[in-house]
Amino acid sequence: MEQQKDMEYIKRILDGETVLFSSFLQRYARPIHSMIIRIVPCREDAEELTQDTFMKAFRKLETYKGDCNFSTWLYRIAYNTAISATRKKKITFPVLDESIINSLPDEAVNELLNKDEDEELMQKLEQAVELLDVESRALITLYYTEEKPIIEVASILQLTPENVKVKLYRVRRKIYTLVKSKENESR
Amino acid sequence: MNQDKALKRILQTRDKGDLPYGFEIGLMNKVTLEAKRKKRRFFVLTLGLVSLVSVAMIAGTILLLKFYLSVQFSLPVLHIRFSTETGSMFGFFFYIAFLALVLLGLDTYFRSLRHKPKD
Repeated sequence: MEQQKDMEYIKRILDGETVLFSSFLQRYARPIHSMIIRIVPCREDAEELTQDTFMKAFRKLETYKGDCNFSTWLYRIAYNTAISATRKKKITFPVLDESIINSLPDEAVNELLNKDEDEELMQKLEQAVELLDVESRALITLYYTEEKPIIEVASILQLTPENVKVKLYRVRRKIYTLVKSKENESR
Repeated sequence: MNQDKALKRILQTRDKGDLPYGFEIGLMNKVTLEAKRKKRRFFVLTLGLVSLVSVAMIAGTILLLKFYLSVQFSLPVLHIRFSTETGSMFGFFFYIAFLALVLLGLDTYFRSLRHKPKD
């Protein structure tokens, strides 16, 4: 239903009713900005990238064929815009030992990521998330914050659903490793 | 996986960095400007294309007539002889034509000024 309405709006915008684009801004500006700010933590940059996303979407509106949701298409533009901005800045992220990540027991990871009463742990979790690479941050933002289904996350990040599942599995383990290393540092 | 309550909570409560007041209006102004630019670009492109095609067609027709059908062109206007009398008449006609063009130009300009607030 929403998809149909969006298609109708897009057709009218392309026919010259530019003012209708404001309905897309009202609906999607905040969620898009909240995803970008998690990839690019600087407020000013995130604001500029949100603007760039919508300008790019408007310029390429005729290329949207309706093969996915309009929001998915917008998120994909936002993700690519944010990724290229971070590439220009050349941010480096800590590299974790693959063998440690692979040898972690599932129960320990599950237990840690579900302990939402421990405030100290929550702080460490937050710090661990800050240390994640850009793609991982985008992935967990879309999955946990925006609550997008795996298939939509895959479409936004241009990956296969299986790949998204594997990456999510690994990101959880990376977070666990980072939290544990923070705990060891504080001891 | 989707039950990672702690991870979900920190991600949802983290600073969402709300957009400043008037962000959407500012962006909409940019979009409107871009739409006008797009329209102008399309107009210029169409005009260029139409001109190019027209010139090509005229050139093609002339070439076809001259080289394949061997039509001889003669321009009668080149045989006109200018005397002082015809010279003053031509001067008057040019003056009237120039005046008409200036008035048409002014008319278009004032019309565009009048229609500007509607955009």
